[in-house]
Amino acid sequence: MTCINCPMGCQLDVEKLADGTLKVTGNACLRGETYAKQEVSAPVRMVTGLVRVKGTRRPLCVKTKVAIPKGKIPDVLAALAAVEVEAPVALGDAVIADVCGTGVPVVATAPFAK
Amino acid sequence: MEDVIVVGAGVVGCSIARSLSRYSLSVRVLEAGSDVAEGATKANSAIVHAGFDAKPGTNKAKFNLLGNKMFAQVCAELKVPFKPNGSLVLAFSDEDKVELQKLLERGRTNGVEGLEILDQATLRAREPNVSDEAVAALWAPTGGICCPYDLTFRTAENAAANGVVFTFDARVAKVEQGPAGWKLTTDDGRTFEAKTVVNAAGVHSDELNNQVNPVKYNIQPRRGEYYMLDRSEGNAFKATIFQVPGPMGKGILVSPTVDGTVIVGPSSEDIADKEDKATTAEIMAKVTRLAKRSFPALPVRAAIKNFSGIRAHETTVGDFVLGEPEGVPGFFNALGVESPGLTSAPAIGEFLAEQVAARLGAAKKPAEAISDDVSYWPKTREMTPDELAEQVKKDPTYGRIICRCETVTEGEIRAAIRARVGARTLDGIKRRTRSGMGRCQGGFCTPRLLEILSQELGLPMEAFLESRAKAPEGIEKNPHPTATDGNRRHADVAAGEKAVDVLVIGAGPAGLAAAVAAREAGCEDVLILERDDAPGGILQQCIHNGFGLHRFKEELTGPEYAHRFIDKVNELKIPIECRTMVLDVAADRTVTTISPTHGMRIFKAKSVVLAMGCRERPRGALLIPGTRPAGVFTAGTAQRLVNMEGVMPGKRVVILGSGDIGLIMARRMTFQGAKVLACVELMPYSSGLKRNIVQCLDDYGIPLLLSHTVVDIQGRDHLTGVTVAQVDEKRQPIPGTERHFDCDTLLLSVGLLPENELSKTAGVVLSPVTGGAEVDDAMQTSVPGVFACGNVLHVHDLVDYVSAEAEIAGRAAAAHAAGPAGAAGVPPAYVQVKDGFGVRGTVPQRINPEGDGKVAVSFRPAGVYKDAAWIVRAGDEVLCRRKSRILTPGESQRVEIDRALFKGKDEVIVEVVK
Repeated sequence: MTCINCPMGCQLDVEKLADGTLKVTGNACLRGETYAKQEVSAPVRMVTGLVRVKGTRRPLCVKTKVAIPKGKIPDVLAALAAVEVEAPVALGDAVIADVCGTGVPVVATAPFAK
Repeated sequence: MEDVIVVGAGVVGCSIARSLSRYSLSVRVLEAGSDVAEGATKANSAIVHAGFDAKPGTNKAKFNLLGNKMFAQVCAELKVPFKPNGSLVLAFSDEDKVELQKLLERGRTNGVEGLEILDQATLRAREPNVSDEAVAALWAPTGGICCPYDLTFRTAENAAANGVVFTFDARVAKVEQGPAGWKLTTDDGRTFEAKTVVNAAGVHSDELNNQVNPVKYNIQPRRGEYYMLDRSEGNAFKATIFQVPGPMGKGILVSPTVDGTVIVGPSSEDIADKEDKATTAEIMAKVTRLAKRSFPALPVRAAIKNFSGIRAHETTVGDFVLGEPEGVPGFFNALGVESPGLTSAPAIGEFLAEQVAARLGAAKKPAEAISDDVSYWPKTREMTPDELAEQVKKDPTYGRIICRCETVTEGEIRAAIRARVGARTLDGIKRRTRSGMGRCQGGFCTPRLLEILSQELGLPMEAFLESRAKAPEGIEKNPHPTATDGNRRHADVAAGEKAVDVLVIGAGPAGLAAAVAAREAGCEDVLILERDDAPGGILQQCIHNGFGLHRFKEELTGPEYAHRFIDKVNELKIPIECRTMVLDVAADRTVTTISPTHGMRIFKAKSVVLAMGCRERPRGALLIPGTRPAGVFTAGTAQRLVNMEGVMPGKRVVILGSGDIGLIMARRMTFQGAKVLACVELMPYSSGLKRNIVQCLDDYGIPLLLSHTVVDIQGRDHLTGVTVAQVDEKRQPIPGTERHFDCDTLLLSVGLLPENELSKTAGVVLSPVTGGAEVDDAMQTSVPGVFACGNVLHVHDLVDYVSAEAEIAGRAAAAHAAGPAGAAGVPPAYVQVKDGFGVRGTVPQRINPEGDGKVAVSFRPAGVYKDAAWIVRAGDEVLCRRKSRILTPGESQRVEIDRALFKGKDEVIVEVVK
């Protein structure tokens, strides 16, 4: 995998050792090791997206409040596509309380006036 | 059944229709395209020829002269621009001089007045940019320039005002004699009947003629490729500069246009397909090579668009074929009308109208029955400030600027749609108003134009993205939209100048932060002006996360980051006036603005902060060959459409350029259901963040093709595909590496340019490297009291640093405003900052060594350097050294240095070292 921490973009290899620990090679610094272990064991991403607002063409922008498991991205996008909210919406308002069983809410990232 | 049907709504067809409308006749124009001026009329040199080229005795010679003599009068009647700037034909050799003499004689035989041969000295004195190699020139004072679409459009409007009916999207496939005249059938089976037919079908005029006339003709489509230079180059020449003509036409010209730009071209190639308006890399290169003979300093980098037009070249007689052929009564030709067709059009119109009227025995209408109406609307860019102020009082929609590059207002755009022969497409608006024709090529105005089209014509915005030129079906003309915004409130016009301490232009991240800092530095009178509907600038559409890590130590989305500052601005009660466009900033900080709610206002500011941001480089700046279909967007325009307007540009996407905006849009388009086929990058490395390459491309399996570029764009109405090829070290495409992608959308993320049009009006000195102002460490420009920050100063990677820079500007602006009025002060003994090896665009360009604290210095690496360091040095003394595992152009570098270190220095150099 490519390390994302700086423009070096080190090519990282992760090996699972007999004792179950992960060994990272190819990294030039400690940040690379931490990143590689996270990416291999439980990669997460914040998802930002759009939801429909009743009565207008213009969408509302939203995000998952914190990063969610990477594998859940397609489900989260489907959930966003299914939502339609009613204006007004304040920045930070929850649009979905718990998206796809992740325990993470989807919140508005901008206000939407009526 | 009409008296006359004119086939073709180019400049010739429309001129004939207008002349026919002077007679008591019912006239209909059938046009294959969705608008007037869709054929050769929309893509030609826009020259009113003097008439010295054509062979004496030909129709070309005769009608050129007649048309030339009518042109000024016709343009005045139609209220369209015409400029008799004169033409020069350059000679580069003794042989050419012989040709000039022949042209002179031929011109005199044709009746051209005022021709003379200029020697080299006279030529150089008149046109200093002409090549030293040009040894003489033929001067034709009766040559001129015009705007072919404006001319055609107003001709059509006046024809319509006098009863002519226009039917578009009606391609005549069949002409036959009917019971009482002629029957025309369109390719979709509609029939129209008329007593007489005028064939002005351009490149297709031979097909109509050959169905009815025993004398057959053959139109050979002959393509000419052009490009256009930005109006920054508009003063290159006064006259139109030709070269001695050859067998394929008048050769390559370089000419000013009536709109202030410069046109370069055309080439001349016979092609097989009458509709193939593509451009090609080979021919564009050839045009440049030949044009450089006349204009050695030709600035290709100033190109804003490339296009081609197709001449209707008749091969059997090689002349205009005009009139009623023998044995075919009631059928009239205007066939083979190539150059000088534009010049000849008014004369051809008169001539054929007279013939048709004679055939039908029609009388002229009395003068009082003829309308001179051309649906004229005032053009904002031609108005004086007082005229504009008056206009906005009458019509507040003239207070909302839609096209910044060409200064076109909402009022003009609505008028263009509501005209008799009104615009129904993006191209239609563009040609009638110039909105989208300037240097950003529609990057900013496209979403707004789509919205206005949608409101006026009652179809969703997407409908107008199918094709730039073909009108969508189901248009409900003028459903009289109700104003949904504050647009139509009457302008509340304040008289006189309004004083303000700190005036901030732009409510993006830079403007907001500068205003807050100025206020917090004690300035009570801060005002922010914003052209958009809401504050936040580009962050409004950057709905992804990744902002604010440095500043707030948390990861915010763009709108969230903007709202941190908007909240602060509101808390401090700093007024923001949206929908307010600044038209001019004078060096004495007099700022002229326009808005639909306040009309024109003039502010007299003690300090001005320029925070207008940047714009995207458009396709035209790259001169990518191919056709010009709908579906090609800059990434930022697409981002606004998707994230703010709720409009998806397409489903199968190729992205050119791997800057962060391109990468972010790859993921966004994927999230919104599109398939992104590839991200193509000219350089051997991406200028985007690694994080974005991984999380926007790799996560979704989107290939990144480094050292590749788009070499062809395909599709007639809508984009159907692109060809991508690998490039060599010199960034030239490698033959044989081409691959094709079927796609409906091409997004361009090929660079950002600081938007310094206003800075120029203030006389601010700009850096050729950053494209922004040259500033000191307080962000003060060369004009005292005028400060600059954010992307208008230099393009930033991180908004966090925009805010930091803007705060410096805001504090300095407040201090300047609080200083003694009118005191010029002694400028400090600045330390000059220079770029050294591996460094581009260091900001600030000068540092005041007096005082304490730190000075922020930033630059962009010129290349990729591994395990390198960069230093700031004065002579051999190193003031600061920063090691880096890697430096890349994609990641600008920034450091804060103790000001005290600069004391006693004249100049410091920033450079990359091993």
